[in-house]
Amino acid sequence: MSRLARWRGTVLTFSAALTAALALIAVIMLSLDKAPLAAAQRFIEGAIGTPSARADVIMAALPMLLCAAGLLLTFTAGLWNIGVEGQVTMGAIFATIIARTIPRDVSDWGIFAALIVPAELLLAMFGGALWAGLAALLKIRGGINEIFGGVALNFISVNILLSLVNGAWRVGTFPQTAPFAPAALLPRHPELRLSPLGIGIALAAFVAVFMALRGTRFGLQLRAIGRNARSAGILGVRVERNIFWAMVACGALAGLAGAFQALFTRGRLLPNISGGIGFMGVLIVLLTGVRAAWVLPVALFLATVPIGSLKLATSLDSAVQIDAALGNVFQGALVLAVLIGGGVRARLAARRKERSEHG
Amino acid sequence: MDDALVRTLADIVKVGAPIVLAAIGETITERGGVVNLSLDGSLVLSALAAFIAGTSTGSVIVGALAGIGVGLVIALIVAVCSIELKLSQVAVGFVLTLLCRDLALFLGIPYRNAQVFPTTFLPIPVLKDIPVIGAIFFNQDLFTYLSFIAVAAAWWWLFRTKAGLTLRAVGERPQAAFARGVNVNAMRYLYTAIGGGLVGLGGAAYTLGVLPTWSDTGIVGNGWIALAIVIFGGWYPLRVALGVYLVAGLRAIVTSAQAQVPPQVVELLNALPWLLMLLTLFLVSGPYLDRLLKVLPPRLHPPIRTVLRARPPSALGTVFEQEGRR
Repeated sequence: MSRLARWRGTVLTFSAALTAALALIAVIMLSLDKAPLAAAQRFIEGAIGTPSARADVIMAALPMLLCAAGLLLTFTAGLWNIGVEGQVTMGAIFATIIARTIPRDVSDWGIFAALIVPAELLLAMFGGALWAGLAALLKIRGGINEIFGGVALNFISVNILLSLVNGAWRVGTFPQTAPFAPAALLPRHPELRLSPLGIGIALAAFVAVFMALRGTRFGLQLRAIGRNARSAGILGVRVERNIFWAMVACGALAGLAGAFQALFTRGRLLPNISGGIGFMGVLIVLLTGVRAAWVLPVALFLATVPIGSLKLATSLDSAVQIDAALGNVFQGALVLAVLIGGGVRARLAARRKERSEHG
Repeated sequence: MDDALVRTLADIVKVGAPIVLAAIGETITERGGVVNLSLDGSLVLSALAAFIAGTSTGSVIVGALAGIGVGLVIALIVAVCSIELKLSQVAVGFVLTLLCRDLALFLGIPYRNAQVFPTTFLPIPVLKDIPVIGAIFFNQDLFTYLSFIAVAAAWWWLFRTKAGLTLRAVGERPQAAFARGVNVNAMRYLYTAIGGGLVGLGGAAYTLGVLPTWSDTGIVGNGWIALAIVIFGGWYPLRVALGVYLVAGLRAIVTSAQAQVPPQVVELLNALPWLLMLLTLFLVSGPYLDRLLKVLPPRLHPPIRTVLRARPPSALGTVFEQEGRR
């Protein structure tokens, strides 16, 4: 099939799936006596209507982009790194190890003040990579499917997080740390809620993954493993070693996403610090069919959902006021519809081909 | 045996019932060669459906049927996507897990801790008076008995009937089963639906029996536990039930320790079931079981293998291409 026809098919499937998911949301809203069209208008306004809303969308997209970039590596090798959610949490925890110790006033730190954020980010990457490496070892040495290892490690990471914010790191009445000092946070734009450094890091990470998959031996080997691990092994690809490093790289990027959550989005460590960012990454990669070029626009598109939903949730107009959890339903429904749409399209194509061969 | 211990054991059996139902359902589905990875979401959504139907009609039967219906529909989505559209069962199941959970969290907002459903407590006459055993197994609610029946029925069906033999053949050697005249995909639809129905019943067991109110916190995560226990149980119903009671027992110990330790330690203790899950999966699927056996006396090998050996159905997760079918 030509490139153009394939592109058109993708857009067609996506549009049909989007329509189906929106229809589901509209039905739910109508059944609750809400006004879907007015809500849609408010949603679009709230998500992209103002410069500050657009900045929020961009910043919400960054951690998703980081997770999705890492997951491109693991999915290419055919690995279901469901543990990404826990890797995000561990990244946030590890970033907090430094962030919570930074005092409000660092004017006498001199050159070291500039090293605080890089050190936090590096430690967060280490934390995520550690958790991913554990899942990889459980798979390679222990024979535990990465899905189950990942799910267990996700829950364990949440337990560790809750233990910390309920115990040693707790400040005040709620289970959370104190707000981090400005010097510990990702530096932000003077007016908008935007971090140029964060944008730069996330884009650089995404481009690095893109290039690694396109033009390096590592990327080629991951593709070979994803197609058929046994054949790749027979042909001399070191399957286990590549799997391990793909997982660790994904974990490092997820850890970075966790650091963004703690050092920018929330500004402190609290329960549910990940907010499902890791699973969002999985949905993005599934939505794009593991095609790196689509990940950036899809991440931006899906990032409008939590921002717009929040505006609906806090609206005073009862005709459009609706809980932000509906946004998650929309995202899940959209991905399921895209998967089904892709399956239907493949089946129709196969049937057409068969008919032309026989007739 | 002292009363407190008997009460704890009875509680373990009761708390384990929903997970037993879900894990037995998944065992049946996977024995036919289909993985329904949506368990965690299915449990939550069917629990909500059962609660809404149960509280609005006041009937535990209607509630249970609503739960079964939801679990069945979700399982059928997995089956259609896998059999007709040849999509990855893992991908569809995982997305359904998230979608169903989010849907339940959203639709359940007005019902959050709204009311308590009266449990259907059904002590069985005569049997409940047997010392110890009666108090543990026959002084329970409806769903606990259903979990016993599910285990026994699944075992009997799988290993003592011709239909069960066909089911296992479909999961192990679909081509061979097809050659003997079995409609492989029809069987897979049937058993995926039955398995999904049992998962839905498990969801109903939460909101109409164990909890018995609408709260996702007591449910989320247990679907994954059930999926892991199916592996630990080696796809044998009795071992699966044993695995569930092991996890439920560990949880009971954690709960009883809760009062004596500060909250940060409680959170760490809550991680124990997941560590146990990793450890058991490590034992049954890693290469270490054979190494472990080497250092043990040979007389102990057969019983240990019986409890810890696990081999998935050969055709698990694969698509069956029927030849000559257009």
